[in-house]
Amino acid sequence: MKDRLRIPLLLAPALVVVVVFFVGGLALALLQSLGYMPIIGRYEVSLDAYRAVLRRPDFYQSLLLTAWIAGVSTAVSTILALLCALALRRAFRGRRIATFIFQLNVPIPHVVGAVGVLFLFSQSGFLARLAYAGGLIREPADFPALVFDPLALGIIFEYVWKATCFIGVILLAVLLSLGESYEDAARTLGAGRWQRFRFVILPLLLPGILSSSILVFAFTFGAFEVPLLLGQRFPSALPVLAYRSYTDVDLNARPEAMAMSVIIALIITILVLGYMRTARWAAGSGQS
Amino acid sequence: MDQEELDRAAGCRHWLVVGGMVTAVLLPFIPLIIWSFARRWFFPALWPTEWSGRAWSYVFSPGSQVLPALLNSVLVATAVTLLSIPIGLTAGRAIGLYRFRGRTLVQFLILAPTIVPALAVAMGIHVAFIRYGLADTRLGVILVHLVPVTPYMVLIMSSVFANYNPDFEAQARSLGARPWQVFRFVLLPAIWPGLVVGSLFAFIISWSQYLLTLLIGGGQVVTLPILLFSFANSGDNPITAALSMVFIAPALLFLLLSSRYLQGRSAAIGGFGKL
Amino acid sequence: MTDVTLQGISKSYDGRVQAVADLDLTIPSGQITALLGPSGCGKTTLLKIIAGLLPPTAGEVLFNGRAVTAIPAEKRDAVMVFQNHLLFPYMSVLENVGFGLRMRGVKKKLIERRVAEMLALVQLPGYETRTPRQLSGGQQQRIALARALIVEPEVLLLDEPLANLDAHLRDEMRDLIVSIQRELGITTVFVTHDQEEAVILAQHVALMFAGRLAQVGPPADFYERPSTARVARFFGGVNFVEGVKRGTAVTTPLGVFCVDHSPLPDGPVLLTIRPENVALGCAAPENMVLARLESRLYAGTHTRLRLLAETAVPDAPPLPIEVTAAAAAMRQYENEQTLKLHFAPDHIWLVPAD
Repeated sequence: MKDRLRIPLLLAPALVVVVVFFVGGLALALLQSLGYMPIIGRYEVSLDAYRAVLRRPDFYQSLLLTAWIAGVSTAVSTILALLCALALRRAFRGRRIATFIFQLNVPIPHVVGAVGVLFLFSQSGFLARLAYAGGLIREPADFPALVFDPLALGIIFEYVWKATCFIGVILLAVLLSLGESYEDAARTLGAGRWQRFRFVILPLLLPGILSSSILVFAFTFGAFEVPLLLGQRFPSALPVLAYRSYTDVDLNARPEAMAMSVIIALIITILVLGYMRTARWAAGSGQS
Repeated sequence: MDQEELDRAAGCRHWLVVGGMVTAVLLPFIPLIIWSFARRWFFPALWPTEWSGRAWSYVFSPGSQVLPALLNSVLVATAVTLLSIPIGLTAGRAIGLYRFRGRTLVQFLILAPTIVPALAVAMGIHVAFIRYGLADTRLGVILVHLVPVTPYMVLIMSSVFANYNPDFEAQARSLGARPWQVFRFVLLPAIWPGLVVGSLFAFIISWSQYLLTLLIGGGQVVTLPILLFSFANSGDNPITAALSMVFIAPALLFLLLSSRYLQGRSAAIGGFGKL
Repeated sequence: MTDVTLQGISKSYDGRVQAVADLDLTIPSGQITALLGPSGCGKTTLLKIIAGLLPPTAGEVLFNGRAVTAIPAEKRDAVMVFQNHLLFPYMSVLENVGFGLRMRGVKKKLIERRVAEMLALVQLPGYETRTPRQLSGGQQQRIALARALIVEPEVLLLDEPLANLDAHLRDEMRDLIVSIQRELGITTVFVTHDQEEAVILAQHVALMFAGRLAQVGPPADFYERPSTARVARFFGGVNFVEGVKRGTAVTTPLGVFCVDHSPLPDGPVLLTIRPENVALGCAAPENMVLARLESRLYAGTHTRLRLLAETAVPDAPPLPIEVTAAAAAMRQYENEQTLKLHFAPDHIWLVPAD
């Protein structure tokens, strides 16, 4: 096989999938958001849909809610993941079982997690019944609303439940591959426990923390299933809002739905790129 | 002594973290399991007042919607996995072994579906699928599932090939091995663990897809998650619970199988952390 | 100036694997001591115990008579330099070298001054802004050394300091370590598996086998006065002849040898002589060995000869003898097949029989 052809040929299948379906899909979404919809005979391109979307108050409410969900979920799960990974890296009795349980929910689909959260946190759910048994409440309404609630606590819990283990497994793998040598070197130079964490462990983990928390943020911002199942009807998360517009009987709502999904994609891409650029700057200047 | 107190406090914190983690991870499964065997379980009872196997017998009965949905899920996920293998193998080999111009751009492009949400992609491509008769078909669903699966497959295979020494192939060829023999006796055994892990990932990702199947399948292609969702919304808790357990069965299998191939210092996962 | 005393140090893992067994050792202050031994003999474990990175299963570590066993590594005044230097990859040279001072809360200006001093000491002035990635292997080693010395430790511990360096870098690094140590007078302990490295660097050598000390003393002792055959073999001694000692005479299958006075009691012994100490040609009949040339290997500065000597024991195989002869000395015997070898009494050494 000709050398010059080899690499493009090898990359072809993957690139076909990505370019045709992914980039193609995005391009078509963009086109439709601009009003270009041959099915119903619309051939002009305009920003009407975007203007309409940006004028809707429910768009901003959903945006705020989605940002809240994604931000809190990412922050909390990253911190918890760090704690768990640090706790799991040294040998202790029962470590293998604990590590196995830690990995348990990574391949579990979010839908099931959401169902579990529903059964657990609803006002007549398992935790509510435990509260009743403990004499803390007298009827379901007394239990705080943790699902279908304005703060989206149920949704956040499900995301944190999954993301902590996802980030944690990655961090644990990085920690184990690094070993204890750098910390040993710092110890003999006089660094105490907190100093070792701050100046040795954290900087070495930073790339892993950044890349996995970016993934979690992007996912929780753009995901659809969990807010659909556990979220309030109004305001709903942005992806749910977009989906509802899409499935609206009125085909004229389509461009707005497309516009919303394009805006979601854009926000995530910009935030992620910005995050990565800041991270590279922070790592490059040697500060932590 | 000062040091002893510090050590003991650290030990307490350690067990608090581990205990808390184990409890939090296992907690949502408890009501799930109990509900699947419940007949009457109203507030504020901690145990069901009446038990029954009704939910499970429904799940496994031939007349219910469950078996066709299960079949669909298995078919689609298997097809997606099989298709993703050559895709991941080829791209992974190119990215892992060679340093070519535009490599970073290609990596970025292939990994983009992990960042950009599937919503815009699915909505956009739907029109084209309708046009080409792929909408509401299993084939359409299979094709669109390739979008979230490809990045992970390529990522894992790139990592595998980065640790692969192509000189082994040169050695085999100089000993007279033909290309298919080199593939079968040199390449395949070397990358086998990574291939298994990648395939498990691909299967689980396709298995868990909801939005893509919903949009492209249009309600005609019913997979397990679609069914699960409608039962969850219907309020029939026992069946929802039982269905959830069936749904997570492959995920648990995945864990058991992959723990054989992923022992702590996995190149695939560690590679993630060095992105 | 600190001396280090190890009393009854043992280290075992899971109650089974014993890395170090009941070891007593005094490391003299202000000198360079080598912990030498084959891999797995426990020397690195011992080094880490002195550093405080590993707690001993039993025994005490004393600095100047003061017990430090309970003091953790970060508070102990012993600094360790690792084999793969372990410079923090995300910090500059300045931050790496200044690390120990920063941990102690020293002010930035002072750190910069001290770092400049240290870099001058290791002969890399002006390298403050570089990153570890930009340094060569030898430079990284020197920066790691500077990082350790800046905190002015009582004890300096080096793990295989010359191992990763190629030949001429080794000499440079060796000279650097020796001159720094002499200037600062720090008690230095290093670990190595290479007896040549131990000998060119250390003034005091402790040889370990399987977690126990085999011999302790100045380097020359190991060549001229090894305590056992195993010690001799580790240092390249190869000619061993079984014999029975009586006074200053040893009866062997090769004949009776006159030897110098030996502290060993009369009875079975192993007679050993280093290849470079076997003389070619023998005038007198005493201490003479007649041997057949089996092979010769020309190595530039010297020639390695392998010979076989017939023993007096019937049906016994001939004894192999190795001789390292200087090029000049070989010239006479270029074409000889049978040589007379002389084991001079002052070159013969006796060790206990195996």
